[in-house]
Amino acid sequence: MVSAGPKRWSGLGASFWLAAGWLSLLVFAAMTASWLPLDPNGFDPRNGLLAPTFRHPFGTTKVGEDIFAIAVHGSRVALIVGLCSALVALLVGAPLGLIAGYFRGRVDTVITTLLDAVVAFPTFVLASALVLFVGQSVLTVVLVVGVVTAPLMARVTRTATRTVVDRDFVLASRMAGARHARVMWQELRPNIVVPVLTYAILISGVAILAEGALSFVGLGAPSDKASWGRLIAGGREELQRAWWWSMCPSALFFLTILSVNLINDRLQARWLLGRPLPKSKAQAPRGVAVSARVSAPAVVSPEVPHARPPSDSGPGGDSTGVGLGAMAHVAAARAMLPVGRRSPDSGPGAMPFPPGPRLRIEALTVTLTTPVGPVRILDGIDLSIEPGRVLALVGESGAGKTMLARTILGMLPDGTEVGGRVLLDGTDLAALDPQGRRRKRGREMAVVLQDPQTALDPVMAVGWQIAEPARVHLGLARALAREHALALMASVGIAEPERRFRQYPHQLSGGLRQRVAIALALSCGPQLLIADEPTSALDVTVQAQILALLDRLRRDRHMAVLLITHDLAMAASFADEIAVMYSGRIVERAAANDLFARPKMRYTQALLASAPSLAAGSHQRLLAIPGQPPNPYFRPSGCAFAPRCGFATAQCIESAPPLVVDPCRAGPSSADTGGGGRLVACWHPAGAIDS
Amino acid sequence: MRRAGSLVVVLFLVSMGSFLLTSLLPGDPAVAILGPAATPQSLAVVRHSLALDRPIPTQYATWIGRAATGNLGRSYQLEEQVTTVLARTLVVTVELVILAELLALLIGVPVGVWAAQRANQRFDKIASAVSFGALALPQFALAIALVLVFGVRLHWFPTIGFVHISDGLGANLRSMVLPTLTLAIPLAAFYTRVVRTDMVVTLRQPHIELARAMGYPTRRILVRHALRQSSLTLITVAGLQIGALLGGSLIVESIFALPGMGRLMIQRIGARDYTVVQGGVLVIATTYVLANFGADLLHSVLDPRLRHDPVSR
Ligand code: SF4
Repeated sequence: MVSAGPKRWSGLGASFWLAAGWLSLLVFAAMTASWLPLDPNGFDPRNGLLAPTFRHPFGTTKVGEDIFAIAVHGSRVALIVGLCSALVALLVGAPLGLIAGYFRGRVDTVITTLLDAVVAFPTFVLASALVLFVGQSVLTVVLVVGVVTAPLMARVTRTATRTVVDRDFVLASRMAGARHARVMWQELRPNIVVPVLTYAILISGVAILAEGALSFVGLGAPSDKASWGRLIAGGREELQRAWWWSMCPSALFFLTILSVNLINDRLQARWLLGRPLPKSKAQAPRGVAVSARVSAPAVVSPEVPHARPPSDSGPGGDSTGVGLGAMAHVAAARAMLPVGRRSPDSGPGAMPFPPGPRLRIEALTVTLTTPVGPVRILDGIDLSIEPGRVLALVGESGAGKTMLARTILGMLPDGTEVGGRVLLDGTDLAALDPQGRRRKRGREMAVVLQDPQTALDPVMAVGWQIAEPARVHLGLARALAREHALALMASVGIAEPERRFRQYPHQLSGGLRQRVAIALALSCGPQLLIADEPTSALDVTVQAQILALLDRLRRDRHMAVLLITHDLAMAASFADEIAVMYSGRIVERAAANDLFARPKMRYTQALLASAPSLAAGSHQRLLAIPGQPPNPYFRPSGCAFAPRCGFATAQCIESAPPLVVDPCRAGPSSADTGGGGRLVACWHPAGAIDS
Repeated sequence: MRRAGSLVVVLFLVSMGSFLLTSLLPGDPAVAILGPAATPQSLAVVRHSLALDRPIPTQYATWIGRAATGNLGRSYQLEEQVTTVLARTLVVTVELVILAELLALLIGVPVGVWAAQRANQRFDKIASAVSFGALALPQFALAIALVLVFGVRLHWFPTIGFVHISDGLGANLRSMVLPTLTLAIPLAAFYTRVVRTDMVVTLRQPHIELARAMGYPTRRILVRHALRQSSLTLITVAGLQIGALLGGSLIVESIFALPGMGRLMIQRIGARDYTVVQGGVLVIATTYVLANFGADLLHSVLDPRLRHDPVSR
């Protein structure tokens, strides 16, 4: 009865109901066959081999039997075998699997070994043997199929049991002294019933097929019983003259098996959906996590695109001298890095690279196309990074940091709208075709991802992974690429590169793995390195080492680095400039030490207050920012931070504050963006109240 | 190695099963040899000469001892060594199984890979629907449908009969086309689904994301990184199928009149020629067990995560 809860049965799809309908029809046919005016035995040689007509929908056999009548009666055998075999498998296989999975150890070994031996026997020999032993009957078929499928059922049950047997409630029940049988029945059974039952459905399909096959070779249903398999076998001889004889029952088989498979498939998909999601946050790859988040339903907020201050798009000029002042404020944070961390930056002119910013982003707007409409993910981003310098992009997850990285790399999903420009060494990346963009990736810009454990190919030697970009982009021959990789490994501080070359990621420690990932990124000597949370999966001591390594590399190679992080203190210790992102916008941008010492925007302040205080020597969270970052689908029309901001006023809620030069500190030296310019998007920045 | 230990036990059980299954069957081989009119005395003589009057355990010990040296006895009726008969038919079945596996992998792997790369797009949806349908095709019905279309109607391929390799490879392959298709179509559908499911998961992993971010060409990513990892699953699955095909090629062999193992088994059971049946079951079941074991072994050799100890600093 379908009425047993609309929720439970909804969303299974039309195909499920069609399949269920077909099976119901079969059940109906099987039950009423005797009363229907269909005679499976009536033959009339004068009407032999008639093609399908209204009178004989499936045609007739050589002796004039009505194939449709036989087929309808044959559905009985099919259904009985299907149901009974599934039952046998359930009654024999499932308990065996449950016991094996529950007790494990020797019991498991014995049961598994026995079942392994049973499944090795060819079904037909088994069937023939049983037919010789107990004679030919429907029961024999059920027995044979039962023997063959019970071990499969046992395996499925065992696997399902093992996934739950270590859960707390089972252990608790065992600890409380419950008898084994009781634990199995009360605690385990409800948790494995779905996979086991769906598998039983599958087995009933297998059984129907097996009956057909056995009847086909004459080992199945006895000759006085109507059966589809026997029909097909009979029609085989007359294929030339009467295709319908075997093809019509074949179609019945096809539809029935298809229905059974469909129902199993739908139920299983349904069950998987209904289960609580696994710890997906930790396991889900980053890119996926992002797209999953943005594909939640909603609408774009009707934002008025605000005017950018003119100073914003000015060329980055004064790039020297940053990072030398106000060091005291971040001294504690810098203690993470080893000595001699920061040499005075050399001006762009000193190096043989083209002058101007390596990466420049102008008025970047990214709008994703989702099933519920366009969603703006990034809104009016402006920034630039000079060669040899580090810009840190800071913000909570979901602020759009990773989306920005993907935009730079040109790895946005199809149908995404991008406005504004992304310039790499003066080349507009948006103007390139996908192939052109692909060739820039890895060669001119490279990435280091958060977790080196998952970011490296688990089944490829790390040395070859490091060599791969050079092979792909620079066309290096194998031997050369190997030399190249070994040199890179040495340059990122991997001892014994020859030995490490042949090892696999799982054989390395976390720190070493991240060094491998960095070497891989540097393979083609990129001018821009995007480091997406490069240390957050590592131990604290290793974090400092990796940061120091990145710092050395960017100086040696004069490489621009875009550091993506949620850790403001880390950003302050490592970056030259920090851009704070909130809900797809940059809300504050300033020289690292300045921003860290005197955050202006209220969100930056909150972020800083919630970060572990390195200066105080404690790693505790002081304050968490209350509330959640806004869903990009329901972004507030005013300041996106207003719902969580203690300083919000009516003005904040009504209109979004533009990113402008901080009025309190506006001066000739801070007017440009690439240098010490300080930009704040806040109606009530901290300085206005403090000073 | 624990797995090797359990392999030995399984093989022992399988051999015992093969022997018991046939020796306990009703029907007297002596009667089958001499015919129903034989006198009790002559029957007893034949039984004694076949060692059928000894206790079952003794019979088993003798049989398995000889089997270990490659002697499975003589056929009661074919006037031939069992091993000779088996070898002759096994060649046919093995050719069929290899052709079917190859064809299925050749179709299933690329389609599965491409469907995963295009997950939920049109190609994936079509591939998914077609493979779902193909999985519901009963072997015997498929065989007959193929015969009807390609043999009876189009006359492209012979519908029955087998041309041995020694009589020309071309003719041999032509006679194998329809049997191979019958086995390969559902198998290809199965591999398509296996590969697609596994690849979709693999393609979501960060190292694939990194490969994309590093600008590797799509084909390289699919083959070198994604398929390389997913093929590990495929090896185990394909190993299971070899065993299943070997035991399940019977229908195909009988429909297309291929002189293979499966057909031989059915004929010899009917004729109560038990030495042949015992030997055949032993060979099929042992191959099944060994194929699975081999696939497992291959998997653990090819997967570096199983090959090495973790973290050696
Ligand atoms: S604009 Fe208003 S709501 Fe937004 S951070 Fe500033 S004070 Fe808070």
